[in-house]
Amino acid sequence: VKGSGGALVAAWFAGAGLLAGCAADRPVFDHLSFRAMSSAPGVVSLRPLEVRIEQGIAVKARVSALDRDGSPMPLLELFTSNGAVFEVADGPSPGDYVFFGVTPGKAEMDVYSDGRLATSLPVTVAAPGGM
Amino acid sequence: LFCVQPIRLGGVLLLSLLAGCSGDGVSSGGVAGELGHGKFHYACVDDSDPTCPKSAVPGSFPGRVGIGGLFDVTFEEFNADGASRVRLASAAPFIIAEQSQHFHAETRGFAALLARRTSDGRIIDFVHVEAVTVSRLGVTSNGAPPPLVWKTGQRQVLTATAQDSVRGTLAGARGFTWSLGGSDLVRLERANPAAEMEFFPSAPGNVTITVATGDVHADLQIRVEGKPVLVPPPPSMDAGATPDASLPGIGDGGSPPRDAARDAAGPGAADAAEAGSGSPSDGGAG
Repeated sequence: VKGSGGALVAAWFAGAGLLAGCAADRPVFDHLSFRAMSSAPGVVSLRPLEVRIEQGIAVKARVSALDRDGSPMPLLELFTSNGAVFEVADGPSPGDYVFFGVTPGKAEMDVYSDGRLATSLPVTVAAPGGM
Repeated sequence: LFCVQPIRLGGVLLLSLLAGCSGDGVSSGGVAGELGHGKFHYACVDDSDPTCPKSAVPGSFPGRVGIGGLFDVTFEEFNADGASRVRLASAAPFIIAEQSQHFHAETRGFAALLARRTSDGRIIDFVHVEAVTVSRLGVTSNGAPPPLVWKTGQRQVLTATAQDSVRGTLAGARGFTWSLGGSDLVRLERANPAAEMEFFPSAPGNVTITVATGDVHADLQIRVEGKPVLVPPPPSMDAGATPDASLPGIGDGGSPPRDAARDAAGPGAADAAEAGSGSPSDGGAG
């Protein structure tokens, strides 16, 4: 009984260690990287931790989410928290996203990696000429 | 080639646009999408849009539409596989709205028109269109400044266009309403609203022609010279259209204005045309 109890304890520690190891291996979001942006007739600011864009303006960018080691996070997906204010959609090629301001206001952009929510970044949509 | 895939707003394939790609109603010049995956073509809703003059070479994608203007846009995807469909939508419906299968300029600002593939939801291209305040109206006669002195019995045609504050012509179909300030020296020969209006001057005198759209209007001071003439039946009044009841002669079988000659002989008739500058006044908007 004592021996089996010791085995159970060992198994518990092993499982917990495995879980902790998995959590430790999961990349932790640090920031977004925007590249290959299209031009826009209004003000657009795609920052690592914030998006600001004018109402009606659309811009395409190639987006990567980088973890704290500076490595790209896998299977990036971007979603808006409020499509009445701000929209993000898949662009013409994998890795491309199109951002556009629908109406002035604030929203969030949810960043998913490998199906898990990595972070939510603030988004501001300004009225034309308001940035 | 321009209309391999003319998908109109709502994803409805319009054969009329296919047929019209090189003719009336469609500005076939087009503009490349900002992502380089296709070409956007501007299409006029009707003849009131100066972007698609019937007799001129189709112009390029205008990019600037006057507020209140209606227009259509089609998209031609480069390297399309033939099976994919694209739907056009406005990024900002409060600036460029989708109205009755057309786009409508609502308020000042830019709005991207997005070409979204229906099969996978990807936005494959877009183009920005600017909605601009209509600040003034331009009035021309055969593309030139209109004559300020008309002869009785000689029909005149005036065309109105929406303009910005620096006289740039703005795209978009819109209704223009013409009026004569109660004068019966000249008769409107077509039904309102119309961008192009025909006039029949029947008796000498001075008349103020006003054309308006929305809150903007332009006045034109015209002097009519010559002897009074009989007013023939209206040549081009649309069937079922209601003539302007304030104008004598319209719809009355061609009898001349009863007091036209007497009115024209009043004092001041000879010099009143000087009040007309020939260039329309600025309107109140913007």
